Amino acid sequence: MKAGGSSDAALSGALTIALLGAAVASMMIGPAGLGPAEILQGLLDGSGVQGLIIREIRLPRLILTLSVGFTLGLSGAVLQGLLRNPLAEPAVFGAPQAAALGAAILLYTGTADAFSWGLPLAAMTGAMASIALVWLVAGRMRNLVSLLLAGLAVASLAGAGTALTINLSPNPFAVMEIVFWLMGSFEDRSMRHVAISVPFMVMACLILLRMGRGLRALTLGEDVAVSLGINLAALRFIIVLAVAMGVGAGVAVSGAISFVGLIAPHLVRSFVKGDPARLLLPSALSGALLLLLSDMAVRLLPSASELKVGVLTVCLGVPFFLWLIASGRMRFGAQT
Amino acid sequence: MSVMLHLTSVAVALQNKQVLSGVSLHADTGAFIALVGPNGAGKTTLLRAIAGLLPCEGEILFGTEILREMKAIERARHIAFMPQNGVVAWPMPVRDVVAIGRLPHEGTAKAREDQLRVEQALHECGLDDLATQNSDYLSGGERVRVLLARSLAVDAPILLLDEPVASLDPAWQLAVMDLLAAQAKAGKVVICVLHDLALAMRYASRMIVMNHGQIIADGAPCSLVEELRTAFELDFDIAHTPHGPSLLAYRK
Repeated sequence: MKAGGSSDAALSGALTIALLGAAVASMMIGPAGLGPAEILQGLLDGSGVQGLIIREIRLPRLILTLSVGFTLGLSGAVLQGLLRNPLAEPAVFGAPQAAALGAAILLYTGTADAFSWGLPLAAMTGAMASIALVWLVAGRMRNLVSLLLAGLAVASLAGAGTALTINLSPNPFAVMEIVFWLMGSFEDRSMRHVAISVPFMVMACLILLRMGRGLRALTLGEDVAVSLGINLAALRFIIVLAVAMGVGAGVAVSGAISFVGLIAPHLVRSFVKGDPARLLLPSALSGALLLLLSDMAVRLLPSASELKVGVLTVCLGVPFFLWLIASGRMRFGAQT
Repeated sequence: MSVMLHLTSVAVALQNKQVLSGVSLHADTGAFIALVGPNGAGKTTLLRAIAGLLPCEGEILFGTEILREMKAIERARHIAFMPQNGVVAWPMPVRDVVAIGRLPHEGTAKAREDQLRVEQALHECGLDDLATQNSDYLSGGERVRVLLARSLAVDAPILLLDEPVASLDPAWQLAVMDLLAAQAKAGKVVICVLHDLALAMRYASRMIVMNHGQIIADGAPCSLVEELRTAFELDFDIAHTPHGPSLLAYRK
């Protein structure tokens, strides 16, 4: 039974329009002042300095921002639905932390510059390894709590590993590189970054967007979900794997960006009347919008060196989130 | 009358502990079975086994189909299960919660049929006025009725309920028991775990007494007083009232 079909379409439509507007605005931001007409020409034509700026600098940045934001927003909504917990986000299974560790190790060894695919590959390997470890330890157990605890433990381990890498780093440049990378940014990303990460994120999102039915059934608990014909083991396996793939690919090119996955579902939950299935697309779109606006802000705010978007999402997101909590405008979950 | 549900020597072991053994029962359409027994007797485990939520030995047949070999979605259309202490994880409107019960019919039933079943279930559970209310503003008893309506909305021929009336006030306890009796009369098999033996005796067409993971008695409610004494280690008297028999418990 489809509930709220037209209001959902309106919500997603409004978010998409806002995204398109923000996307155009974001293409206009930069040292070279370009208007909409020049952007369009640059996109179609691609020749000359303008074309180069549009196609090689601003477009990859835009694509990555949108895909990472979309993936994080969607992953957050899916994980909150799976765990039936408003605190869930991609970090609970340790994937972003492990991806960061993979990247940090590569930066530490100094081989990151040797070939440009190295960094994304190392990050994605880290994410996959963490999920594999979590699954190996707790995957066969039927309860979710052991999976969560294993995820938290692996996340802590990855965090400690990153700290250790920084600790043991032989030169200050490597430390700085690692620290900056950990802050998360879309600066100086190329089409090569797009090519290596976006296909994985698209694949993950296509899978995750189909999980709505199972998540809706899970609203009433695991027993009821199974009694309604949901294959819970398969649902969990697919979700954890797809989140690892999408988030791993995202973190691989953007560095660590936290908070988007946690906050995006809460921004739209009341619009979809709490339904975890109807939440998926709006949450993904608002994740993309949130990250895009943050990335525009870091380029607009005057500062000596460019601010890192991962820092800004938290700096701006947390006060806003705290205000939402304090104002009682948001109901996070059932009160029982 | 056709026999709808067969259980033959069903056994369940959880963490190497035998919680159910040698359970056999047959239920016809129209049966309203009260499943009673002391805490830990295996009542909930039996319901979960029938609902396909637990791996079990022995055989469970629905009509002529083997339950284990049925597709999950087929099983879901045939059996509705209402667990004890049900929760609604997100604040959703009551009508949307009830509509979750239509999930097994997605893609096969017409939208009109879905809507009809949901509205009917809302009405039967006295939720017409609460349909647009958010689930997290409900009282405990209202929430139970919402979850009961969700189970009814599945429109399955077998209805398994674990303590559906425990948190309801007396008026709603009677109303829900009437409702379940009507469901059975309409041709469903209703199996209901109850701790209120007086209610079980008044409403159920049949009582199954469980203890230590086994069925120790199965028959007309009034005929099982001796078995109840053994299972609960209590004394029971049947009081004959103008409204029918009632059961009173005493410590031995």
